[in-house]
Amino acid sequence: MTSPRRVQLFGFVNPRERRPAFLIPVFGSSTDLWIQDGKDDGLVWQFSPCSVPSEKIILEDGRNLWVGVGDPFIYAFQFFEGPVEIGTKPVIERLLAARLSEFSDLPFLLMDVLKFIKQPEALLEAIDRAKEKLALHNPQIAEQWTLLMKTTNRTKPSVLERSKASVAGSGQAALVASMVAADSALRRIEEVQHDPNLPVRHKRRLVKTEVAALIAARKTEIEDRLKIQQMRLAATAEAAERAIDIYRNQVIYEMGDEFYEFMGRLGVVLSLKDLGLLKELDERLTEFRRSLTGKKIKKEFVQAILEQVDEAFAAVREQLGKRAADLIVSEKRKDD
Amino acid sequence: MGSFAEYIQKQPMASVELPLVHTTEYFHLASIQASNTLTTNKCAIFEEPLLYFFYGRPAYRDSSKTAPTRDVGFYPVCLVFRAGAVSQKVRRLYPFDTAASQRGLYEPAIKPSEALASYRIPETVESARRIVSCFFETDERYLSNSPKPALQFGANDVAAGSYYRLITGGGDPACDDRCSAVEVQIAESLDIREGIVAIVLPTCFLEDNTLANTLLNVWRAMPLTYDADTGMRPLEFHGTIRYLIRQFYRQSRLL
Repeated sequence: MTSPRRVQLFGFVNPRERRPAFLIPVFGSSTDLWIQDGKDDGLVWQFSPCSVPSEKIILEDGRNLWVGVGDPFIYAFQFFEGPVEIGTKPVIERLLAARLSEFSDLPFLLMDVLKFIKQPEALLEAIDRAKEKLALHNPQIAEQWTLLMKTTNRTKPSVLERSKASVAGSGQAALVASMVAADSALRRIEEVQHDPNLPVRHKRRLVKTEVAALIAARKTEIEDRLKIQQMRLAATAEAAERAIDIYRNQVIYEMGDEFYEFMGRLGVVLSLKDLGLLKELDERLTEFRRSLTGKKIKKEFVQAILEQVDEAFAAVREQLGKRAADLIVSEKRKDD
Repeated sequence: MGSFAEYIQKQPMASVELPLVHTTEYFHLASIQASNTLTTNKCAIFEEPLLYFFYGRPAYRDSSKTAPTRDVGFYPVCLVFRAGAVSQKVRRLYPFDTAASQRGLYEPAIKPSEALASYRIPETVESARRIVSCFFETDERYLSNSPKPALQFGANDVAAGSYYRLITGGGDPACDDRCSAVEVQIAESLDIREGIVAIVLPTCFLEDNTLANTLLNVWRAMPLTYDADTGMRPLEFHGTIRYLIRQFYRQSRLL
């Protein structure tokens, strides 16, 4: 099935089947349905096929609206009362921002709305209210969900939550620590982004430094947690092989996730894997490991190999920093 | 010449058993909730009622269609089960999405005529763990679809070599990472309460008090939620869902 370049609005689907709600605009015809598909840039990249039972579709009549690839995404929202509101993101954002009070008893929907209108500062309160609702059904799962939400939605946990996390285990404590470090880096990057006095080149350099430093800190943190430093200090071929295995099988994936999440917070969806860096790094680490296997070698050689491992990571860090800076500080944003 | 199943049986197992994931369209959730059951659907390829799961990964398979559906249109729902809850019921197990195999998406590495007969492996979750260990080394790498580099195969292991070629890019350009997602089929309906551990769904669905009660109280499943905007865009929600599930596995100390 070939994706069309331009389609007419056919109707809407309200997956929640209650109001208020975001609706999904569907295009084409009852037998040939499409939805807009795209990334965070707000533009339609393609139309993707979808199947929805016909009785679930709220038919659109009256508006002869066509949308094409490259056009801004069209959103739809329906309040408790009134018609379906339809428009580009800024239009729907304005409407929602003006009527936020209507979602006060709907904390889960409010979370969606706050993210949509980019008001993350109120998200923490919405998550806490949502947690209260979930706790009525199962307090333990509500607690876990809240921790996960606060981690993935990038809000700072309270002191109490941080201490709970550190009691829960070193893995979660490290997660919280990295979240706080990422919060600080994010704040600094946003300041750089919006500083009218900084030239673009300077902004890029600062963003690159911030991103690279964050990745370096994350690597050190994972090394501590997984006790890689002790293996490195042993400087035997076996210990170095174990360390490289952990780098290959765990560290690069955790770093990839961290980078994906961090860039997402800045409105850019990009992962280590997308850049092909994961594969390259994996191949280099495999080569290093091979050079150690089955040999009785001197500590100096082991240390030299581990230094090369660090250099490989440093090269990736630099490339990621540069790529992030190019995307975050574009010429278009010069006047931000 | 050794079969693929024989080759797999000789391999060590990954140390951890990952959950099994069933992905469905949002509009099936109401009936699943009402019956607490995942029901089988007549499979157009195997010509019997089946339920499809993927080992560890949130991949989608519509049993009623022979063609692999590229994506759930929007707001996918993934149900994550302890493998043990399903393992006694497994009918067939394959190292890939069988629907794509029948559309020629694995050619030239694997022909449609060979896929079903030559790649069926013993119907135990241990087979999935052996595939992970042999072709990916670790669960992290399996979840990220990063096969081990430079594996070599002997003259007797032609089928294993072809599979390796497939998962390292030897299929059709339109072939996605379902070529390496271990498919688990069961031929009977499944009581969700028997082993669900988590459910991926849009955050706003939890606004429905009855649904929230079913998920948290009756099923005792951890909700892994994504926002409304992301759920509208297939180009975005795959990454988000994979990330949520990996975070859940880490939190559950499976990774």
